[in-house]
Amino acid sequence: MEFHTYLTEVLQLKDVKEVEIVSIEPDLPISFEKGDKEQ
Amino acid sequence: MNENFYLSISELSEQIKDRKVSPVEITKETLARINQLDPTINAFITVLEEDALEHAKVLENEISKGQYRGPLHGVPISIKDIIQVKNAPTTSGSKIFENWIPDEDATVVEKLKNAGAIIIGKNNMHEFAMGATSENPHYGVIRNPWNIEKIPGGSSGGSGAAVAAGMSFASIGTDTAGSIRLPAAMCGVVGIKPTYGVVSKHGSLAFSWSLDHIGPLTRTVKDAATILNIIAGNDKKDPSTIKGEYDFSLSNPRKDLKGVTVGICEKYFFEDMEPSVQRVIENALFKLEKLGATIKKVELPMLDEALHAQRMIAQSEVLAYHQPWLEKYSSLYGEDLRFRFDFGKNISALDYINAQRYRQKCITDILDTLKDIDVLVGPTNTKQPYTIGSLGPKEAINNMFTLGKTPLACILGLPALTVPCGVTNDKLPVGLQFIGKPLKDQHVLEIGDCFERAISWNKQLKQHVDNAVMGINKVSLD
Repeated sequence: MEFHTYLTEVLQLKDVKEVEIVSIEPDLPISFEKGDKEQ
Repeated sequence: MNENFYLSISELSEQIKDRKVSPVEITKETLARINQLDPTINAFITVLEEDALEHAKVLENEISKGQYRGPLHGVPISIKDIIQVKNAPTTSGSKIFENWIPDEDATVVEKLKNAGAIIIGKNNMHEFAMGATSENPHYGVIRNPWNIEKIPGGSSGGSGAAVAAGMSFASIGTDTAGSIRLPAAMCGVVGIKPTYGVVSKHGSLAFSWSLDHIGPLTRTVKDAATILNIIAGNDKKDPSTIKGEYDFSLSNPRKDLKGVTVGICEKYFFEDMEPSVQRVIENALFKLEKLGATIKKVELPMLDEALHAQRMIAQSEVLAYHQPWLEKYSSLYGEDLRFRFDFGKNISALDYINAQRYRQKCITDILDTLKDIDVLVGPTNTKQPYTIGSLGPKEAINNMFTLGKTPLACILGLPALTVPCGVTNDKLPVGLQFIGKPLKDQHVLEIGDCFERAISWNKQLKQHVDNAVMGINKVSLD
C-alpha cells in the first residue's frame, strides 16, 4: 500500500495532501556540489 | 557449533563464492541465531523468515549456475524499521504505522536486493527515530548484547544490537543526530553516516529531512565500505542526492597513518566524558600517533551556534512532518515524543530560517578551519550506555546531545565514521569517531580501517560477543 493511501484509507486523514508527506528539499545550505545535482 | 554468523561480510562472501557456505545454509543459521537470542535482545520487530529463505534459494540456484552478483550475494542483512521493504510491515517503531505494508522498496533496499543481499528482517528502533535510548513503548525495549540491563543507544538500537550479536551481517540505519553512530559505538560495531546527499533517502520516513542520512552498521570498516559502495549514488526520487560516481572500496588498505593529520578539538568533543570512557579514548589517540598520524589541536568556530541550529531545525522539521496525523493520533505516541513535539511548537518560522542561515555560515567557517587536517577525531559516545529505564521522558530531547558527540556532523553534512576502540572497566564498548570533509568518505574509511586493523578489534568483538551470548543464555535459562 502506498504511504498516502495508508494515511487516507487506514488512518482516515481525509484532508492530507501528498505535498505534506514527502520530504520537499528546500534550497539546502549543504549542497556540496550544487552544479552537479540532478535537476 | 557452527559460527559462520561471526564472519565479516568479506569473509562470508569468499565462502559463498567458493561454495563452502550456501546462501540457504547461512540464512538458516542466522534465523536460528535470531530465534535463540532475540526473545531476550528484541532487536527485530519483524523477522522475514519465509521471504528470506525463498530469496536464499534463488540466490543459491544462481551460484550453482556460476552467476555471482558480488560481495553481498547471499548475505543476510537487516533493515531499520523506518525504511520501506516491499510487502513487509514498516512501522517506524510506531503504533500508528503498525499496519502499513509498503508496496515499494526504498531505494537502498532495492539496491541491496539487486546486489544479492537477503533481507532477514526489520530492526526495532526508538519510536520514529526520535531518541537515543531505543526504549520503544510499543515493540519493547531493545537490550544491549554486551549487558542486557543497558540500552543499546539509538535510534537504530535494533540495528546495532543485531549486528553485534551475530543476528545480521549488517544493518541499514538512519542518522539525524547520531542514530547510526551512537548505537554502533555502544554495541561495539562500526557505523558510518556518509556525506549528506551520497545515499538516497527515498523510502525512509523522515525525521528531519535536511538532517537525515542513511548508512550501514557492520562489524568491520571494510564491510561498511562494501555496503556504502552499493547503496550510494544519485537517485531521481531523492532530490537531495548528489550526482556522481563513487568508489569507497578499500582495495589498497593503508599500512600506517603517516602523512595523515588528525584534528583534535578539545572544546565540545572532549567535554563531559566519563573517566572510564576517557581512558579508552586516550589510548586510542595514542594508537593513532603510534600509527604515524600527526595530532593537531584545532579550535572550531561557531560550535554553539551549529548545535543550536541543529536543535531548531530538527524540532521544526519533525513537527512539520508529523503534523498531518499528530493531532488525531497524539495518544498513540510515547510520552517522550509528545514532550519533544511540545518543544517544537515553541520554535518560530524566524528561528527556523535563521538556523538554516547560521548553518551555512557554520559549514563555511568550520571547513575553512579544517583545511590543513584530514579528519577530526573524538569520542562517539562520551558516556557508557545507561541502565534501561533510568532516563525520564523530559530528557528525551537532550539524550542524543548528552550521550555522545554525534550531532555536529549531521548539521554540517560531513562524513562521520565510528570504529570500536576499546572497552571500559565495566566491559562496555567505546567508539572512536572520525569526521571527514565533504565527499571524502573513502578517506575516512581508509583511516578508520587502518586503525581498526591495528587494534585487532574483530578478535575482541568475537570474544566479547561469545561472553555476552553466554550471559544471555544464562539469563534465558533463569
